[in-house]
Amino acid sequence: MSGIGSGYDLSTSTFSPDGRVFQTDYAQKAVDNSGTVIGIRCKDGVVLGAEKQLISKMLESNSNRRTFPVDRHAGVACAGLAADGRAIVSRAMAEANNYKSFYGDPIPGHVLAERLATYTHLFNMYWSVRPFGVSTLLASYGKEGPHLYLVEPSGTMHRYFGTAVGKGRQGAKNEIEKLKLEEMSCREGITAVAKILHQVHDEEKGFEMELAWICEDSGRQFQRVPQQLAEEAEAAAKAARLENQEQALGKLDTSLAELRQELAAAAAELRQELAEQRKELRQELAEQSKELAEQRKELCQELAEQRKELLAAVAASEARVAAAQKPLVDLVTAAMSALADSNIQPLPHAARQEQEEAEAEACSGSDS
Amino acid sequence: MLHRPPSHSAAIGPGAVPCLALPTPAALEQRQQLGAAQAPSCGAEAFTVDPAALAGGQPRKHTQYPYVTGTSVLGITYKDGVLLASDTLGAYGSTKRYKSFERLRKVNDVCAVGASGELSDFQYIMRLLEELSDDDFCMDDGHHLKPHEVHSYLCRVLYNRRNKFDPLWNSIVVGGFYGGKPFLGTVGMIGTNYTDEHVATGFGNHLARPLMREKHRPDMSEEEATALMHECLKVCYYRDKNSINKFQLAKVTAEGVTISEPFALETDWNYKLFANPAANAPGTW
Amino acid sequence: MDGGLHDLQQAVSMGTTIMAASFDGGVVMGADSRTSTGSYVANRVTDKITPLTDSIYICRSGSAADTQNLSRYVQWFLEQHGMELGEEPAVSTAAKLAQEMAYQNKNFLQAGLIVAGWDRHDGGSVYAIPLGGTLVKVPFTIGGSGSAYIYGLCDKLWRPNMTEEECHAFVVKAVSHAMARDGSSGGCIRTVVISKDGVKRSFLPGDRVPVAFGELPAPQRQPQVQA
Repeated sequence: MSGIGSGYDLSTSTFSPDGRVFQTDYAQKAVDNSGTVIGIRCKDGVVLGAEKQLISKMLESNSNRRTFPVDRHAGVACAGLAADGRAIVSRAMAEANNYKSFYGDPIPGHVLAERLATYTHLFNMYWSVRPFGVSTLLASYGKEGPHLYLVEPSGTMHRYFGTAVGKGRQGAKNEIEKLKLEEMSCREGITAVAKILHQVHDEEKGFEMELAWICEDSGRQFQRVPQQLAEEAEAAAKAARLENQEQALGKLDTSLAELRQELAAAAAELRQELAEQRKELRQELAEQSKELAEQRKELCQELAEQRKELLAAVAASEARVAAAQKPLVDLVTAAMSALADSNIQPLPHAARQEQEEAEAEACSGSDS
Repeated sequence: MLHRPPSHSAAIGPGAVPCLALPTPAALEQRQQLGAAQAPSCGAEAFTVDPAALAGGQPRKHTQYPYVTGTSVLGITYKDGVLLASDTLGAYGSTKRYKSFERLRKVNDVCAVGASGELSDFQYIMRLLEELSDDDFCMDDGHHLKPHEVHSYLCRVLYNRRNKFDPLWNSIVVGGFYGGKPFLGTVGMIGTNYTDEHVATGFGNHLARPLMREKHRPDMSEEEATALMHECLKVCYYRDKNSINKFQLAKVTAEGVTISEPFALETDWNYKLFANPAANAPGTW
Repeated sequence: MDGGLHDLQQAVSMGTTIMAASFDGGVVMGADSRTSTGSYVANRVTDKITPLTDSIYICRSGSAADTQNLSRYVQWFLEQHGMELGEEPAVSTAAKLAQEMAYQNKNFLQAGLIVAGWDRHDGGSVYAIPLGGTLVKVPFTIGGSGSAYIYGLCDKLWRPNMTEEECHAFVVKAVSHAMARDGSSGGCIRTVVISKDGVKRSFLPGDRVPVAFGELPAPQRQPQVQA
């Protein structure tokens, strides 16, 4: 259901008839389009990781920050509009500072998360403001132990064992679910996070990874993962990705070979079938030609007999004609002799008869 | 990018903060709120009385005295850095009330401070410095306050408060090591300040500094510097009634800041005449 | 003075003995019960140990008005704070709130405070907030005018890792000795024991307070049940 054009998406101060606040939904979409940001709570701390899309080849490395400490014991990672993220960070710092100066203790994670959620929510309530296009992952390590929270543009806040936001969130969440977080240390966690980020990164373009953690190793202070550890994690992630690709390639190869084999088998079968069919056809053909020859023979015989009969009939009729002609011939001879006297040549009748007999013989000769 | 917490603007006073540090109108408004530094963003508002309101338009009278106080803090430079020293007493008038009050504190990896005077004010000042170094931590850009910046900042704060006739009742020693050089400075409750190769606050100025002038060299080894410090502390302990034999030493070098566990010094009471001072002077007291 | 009512016009002040001491698993707080205006005892059964939350208490000395109002503010802050926090506030938080108000308003208040209690993170803890608004975490502390008389006694008697009973006995003994020498302290001894098991209040009537050198024990009437 899209609100575009319906007029209900112009302000957070108006609900749509089916109960949505479209500006809030759109803010969520700004987050969904951003680079993936994931967080996991391990047994001894929290690890945050961000996939930073390279907006320019000339960008300095380590710029375009996505993880920020907001106090010694707490830090956030922002997915979505970076500028909105900084506003949240600024507020989080102010809240942490204020709490410490008033109560004397570091702000507990859930209090900070709740205050950030309240702050975020305020921007969903008034005509004059727009919601933050930012989801904030908050890691804290206080008296209550290591905690991970997610604050969304709508102002909702939840505590997670592990979660992901941004483009690759679905894939990342699936991967996080497979991790045994309660047995995993943060050292292992950074590698896991790096692997997931590399796995869900789909585009051709490269990306920069930013890892931050808070755990015993970091002295319970929120900080970026030391460069060496981060590089190791990234190398492991890249190796894992390469291995994955190789595995996929290997699978493709085997399936190709299988296909080839199948194809060859099918071809052989086909060939055999064809040969059998040919053989059958030949046999059939032979039988048919034999039959045909017999039929011809019969026909020729019949024909010869008929001709013979016809010849006999012709002879008889010729004899009859000759007999009938005799008086005529005599008459003609008489006439000829009369004509010879008057110089007229007669037609040679015997030559014509011989020619007709030769033709009849040639026709019956092709029977054998 | 991110404005400083308003508590600092209030401490430093108007005009001391660059305008750009408070970029938004909202931030400016927030700064003017009474007790903004204490107000939580949710929940109850802080209870702070505006003294001006209580005075009912009359000039404000400040009758402030120090209650819980610390005595001298000493500081010397040496070859590899600086040493600060003090005892751990929080005195209540002349009552030695709190005997484990740590008056030497780390600011960051390059700087430590020590304070004498009103200890509640020192706690307040430490909170300001903590906020600043927390800020540096959050900026996460590798920068941090240098020792001379901490010194400078404290000078501003103390001088501004004396200008409001509401001084922070402290003398503070700032020790640090940065850029291969030791830094040692001090600032008093009315903003008086200087840097030197050896400094002391309060009674220490009279008791310890003569010794330092005599024996201090900038190229001292750590052992020599520590020995000099011990000697100075001992003299302060002998002759400052509000001191105890329980000391701490802070060391700032290129390796960072270390603050020692409290220790006691061997003292000497074994001169023969101490047992019977009047032996050769009948009638003396 | 002239024997008139001049004393009554002075500020109601708790020239006092208050103290708190930690033991293994909790704290014991103790106080006398005298409130005076000048030389007149305005209240001989005062309760100077005021609850801030279910498991954090504050001992008040100095101006009764100042410390009552300060305590009320701290109670209110802590109630708000507890709701946001979702659990009982920490003793350190209560102490910090009291300290902040004592410090920010030091020119207007006469308040010497001891905040003590139990929370699940730090166990039992004691914080002293003397006049200027300094905040000091201590294993035990004493306060009020009477405390001046018992520094030596407390330094001698307190030791770490006492049992609850030992600590309670220590507090009662210390307060009774202060009451024996300080005219501004007197009446009864109230104590509050706070541990993970909760809060136990006890009350030692004035005629049962241990008697020190140079005094006589109060004659004991047969205990009567009063309505």
